Amino acid sequence: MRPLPIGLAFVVALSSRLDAQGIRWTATSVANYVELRPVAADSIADSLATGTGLVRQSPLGLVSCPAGHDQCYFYRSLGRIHTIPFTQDVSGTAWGLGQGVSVYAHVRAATNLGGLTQLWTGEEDHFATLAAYVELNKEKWMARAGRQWLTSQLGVNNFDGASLGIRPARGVMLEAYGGRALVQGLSQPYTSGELAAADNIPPDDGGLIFGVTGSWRASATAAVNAEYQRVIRADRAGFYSDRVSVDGVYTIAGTVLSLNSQADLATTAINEFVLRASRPFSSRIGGSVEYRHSTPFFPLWTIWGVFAPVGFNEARGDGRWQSADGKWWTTLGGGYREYQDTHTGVGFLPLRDNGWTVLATGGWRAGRTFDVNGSYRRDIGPGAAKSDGSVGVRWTRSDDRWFGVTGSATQNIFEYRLADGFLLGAMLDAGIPLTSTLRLVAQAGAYRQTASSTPSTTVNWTQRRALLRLEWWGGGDPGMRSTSTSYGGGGR
Amino acid sequence: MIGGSLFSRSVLAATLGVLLSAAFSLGRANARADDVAFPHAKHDKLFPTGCASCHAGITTGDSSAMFPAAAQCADCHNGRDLKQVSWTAWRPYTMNLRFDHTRHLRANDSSGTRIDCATCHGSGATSIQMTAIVQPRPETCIGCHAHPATSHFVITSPCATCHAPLARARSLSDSAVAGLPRPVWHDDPRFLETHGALATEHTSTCAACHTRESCARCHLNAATLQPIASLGSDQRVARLMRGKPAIYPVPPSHGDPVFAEKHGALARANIESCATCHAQPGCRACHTGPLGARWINSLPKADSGRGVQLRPMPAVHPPGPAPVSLAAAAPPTDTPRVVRVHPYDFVRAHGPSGATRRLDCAGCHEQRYCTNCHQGTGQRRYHVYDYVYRHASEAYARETNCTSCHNTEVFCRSCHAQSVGIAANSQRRSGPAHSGQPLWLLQHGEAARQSMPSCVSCHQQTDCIKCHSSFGSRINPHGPNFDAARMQKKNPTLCTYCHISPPIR
Repeated sequence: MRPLPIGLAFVVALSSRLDAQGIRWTATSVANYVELRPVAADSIADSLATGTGLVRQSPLGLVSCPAGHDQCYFYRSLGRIHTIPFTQDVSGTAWGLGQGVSVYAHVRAATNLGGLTQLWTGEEDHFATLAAYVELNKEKWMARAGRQWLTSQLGVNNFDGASLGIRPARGVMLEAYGGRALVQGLSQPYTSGELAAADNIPPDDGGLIFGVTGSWRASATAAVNAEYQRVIRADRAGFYSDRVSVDGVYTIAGTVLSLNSQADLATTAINEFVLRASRPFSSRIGGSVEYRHSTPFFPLWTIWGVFAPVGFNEARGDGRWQSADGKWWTTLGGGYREYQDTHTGVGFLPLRDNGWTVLATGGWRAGRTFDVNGSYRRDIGPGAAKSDGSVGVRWTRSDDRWFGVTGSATQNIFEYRLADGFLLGAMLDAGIPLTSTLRLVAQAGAYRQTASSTPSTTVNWTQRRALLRLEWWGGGDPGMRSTSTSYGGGGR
Repeated sequence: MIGGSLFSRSVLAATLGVLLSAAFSLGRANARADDVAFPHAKHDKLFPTGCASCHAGITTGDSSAMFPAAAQCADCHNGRDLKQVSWTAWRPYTMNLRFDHTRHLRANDSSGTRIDCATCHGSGATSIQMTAIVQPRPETCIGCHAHPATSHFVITSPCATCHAPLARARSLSDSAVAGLPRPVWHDDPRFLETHGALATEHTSTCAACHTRESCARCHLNAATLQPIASLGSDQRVARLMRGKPAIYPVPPSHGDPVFAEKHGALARANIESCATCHAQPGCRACHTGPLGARWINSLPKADSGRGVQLRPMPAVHPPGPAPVSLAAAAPPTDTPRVVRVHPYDFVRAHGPSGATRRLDCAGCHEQRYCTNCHQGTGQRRYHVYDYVYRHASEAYARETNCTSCHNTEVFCRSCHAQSVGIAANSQRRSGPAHSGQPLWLLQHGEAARQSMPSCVSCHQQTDCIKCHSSFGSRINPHGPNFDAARMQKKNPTLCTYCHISPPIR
């Protein structure tokens, strides 16, 4: 199936009549400059380290000295490597081909302008069709055919096929879809070379996706949705996934209660169960509390799901305040989670089985053109922990020209710890409207490992990043103005 | 009775002037320099027939006979009998009063007595004397024209009874219009909030001092509102309004924390109210789709720099203001007010609202808006800067669903496990994510079950199958509640990965 040529053919064939109809298009060119520093294991004799215990001080910084070893180990950063990926996105919508008929296409070209290609996924995928479909949208029903996006609680990914939705009553939407499945996050078939290159037991057959969704907005304050979705092997010999989701939102006495749940019918695991209550106490103060259970989901073409992954239960809460004039605002929040019993491990080598997070953000709108924002986050938990703060200032003119500066300080507390220093970062970003339909966005940043009281010749994260993005858009909407909706830039 | 006294034009001018200054109008600014006061008192004995001697037209309605001609003065002031005087014929004054002498002289006053000159110009006597001619006061008018308040400047004043609409008071100069007195109710702190209802009820009162241009200074929809349109248009006011800043107070409804979600219903109920401050471009800052188009299209098409300006506001850096924020600014001096379209925690909690269609996402957002984040390689800055270094703890805590955008095998391993990137190839067996202890082998099962996605971000399936398979070390990786039959039913091929070598392909 080649939905892109079909979609483009539609557009081209109808272009002679576009004056009487309509088209809206967006072209975005992005060039990134990304530096990274690989790490390699190294060791020194334990006699060179001082102190006792696993982590000791050495002339090179902190090292790990396991008992019974005559060596202490550390990770040493290698030289900087870089890549310059370039992507060109073009998307467009054409309509006016009949009442409710429209065509949408989004294609992407990518290449490498320098450096190592392996650093940036998708660089070798020189041309990709992310979406290309024809839509017929009537008052009582809607149909799409082609490569289209699925946006649901079970994931956002695209597939090649058809979908049909009907609106049998006010507030009710029933939808069914089916077609060739594409891998989430890849926009590639299950048998694609990219997946085969990444795992030595890749899927050996393509996938077919089917699903049904029903949603009911009972009132302005209550709505529910349920979805069942399965992805089966193309040879019908088994499932790649078999899942269901249920969601609901209900507002009572000013409090918004929401439920978000997803379950894997193959492993009978509840992957997500989030019950949340959020309430604005006034225009200036609000808060929310949340209970969450989370267990990772794995598709059935991998063995990971049968390795009995466990989930965690988490309680979270946050509160928001803003000044009467709206110029000042702050949010404070935090959460605590505990993992379920793993039924494994040894008692004398316990691993942490809980974690917590605190988060504080704040902002100040200074006058007509300046915004100041700051945040601090501290995560402690099994596997990784960090302490992370940043402050940003943005100057915005009424003509959408902006200039921003962001500074940050980060320390990973366990893994990839930068001795007892911080990774300081400074990033500049600017947006310049070149014309009413053309905008240039530029970013440049540098990260420097510093402020360490001990040598840090081990892991060194000092590196640079840059980005240039050109956004070009045109056309209009029936009675609407063309609007660009993308801001900021890649944060990789 | 109009009798033996003579009204001079100066008396009338002074009378009208006082009335104007006390009421809505002109005051001293309109006194004409060439006016020569007629000394009625000096002529007290000369006009036995009373006022009608010189002002016969007042009674008959003949405008040519309302004031004496200059030649009439020269009968005596001829230079021989009396010295000559300089005098010019009477002409209408710049005023916004609408007073008909003739009509009034045919009516009775509040006590039922026939109105005569003394009613307004007398000093209390029943018959007017040349030596006692006074200027009429507004209270005299109000004495008959029922006036419920004690003050002249109250909203309930029936201004139109005595005053012509400003648009028709063409003789007033720009400075006269600018000098119109400001009624006290305009100083009420809630005046901006309440003036619409007052204007609808008392349009003629407003019309005494205002024209359409007065309202169009702020009201984007001035041309379509009947009370405003009825005021008429006037270039003097247009000149006065030029360059004056509009004032847009924030309505109480906009202070609702969830106003963004409610504003659609409010707009549908009374779009004219929105049109006071908002034009179509402001709405389309968000409404790029068809949602609300019917009502948006009924708003003024262009704001011409007026009206409350709305534009999407990019975050300074996540987590900054919610991605869908608006900066609302009333030109030209108001500080923009940040309007959160969605609650502050919407980024984290938007899933159920979108899935259940409680909110019509497509009404404001193209699907590209979602996929910019969710497809994994989008254009929007979703993560904080240098997320490469900062992402680990959030990935472990599943703060966001990484797999919604990124394929674990391809995306994560591109850095974690390839020959370039974070972990060099030599580190795959004892990478930094492990504890570095020789007994890690005893711990890895617990760590893996807690955070399996982090294992997958580096390890391929065969790394684990080497031990956890019937042809490897036969170490059972399944948990206590593993349902082998169910799994075999779901995907029998999967079982062969570990239980048959080579796996059935």
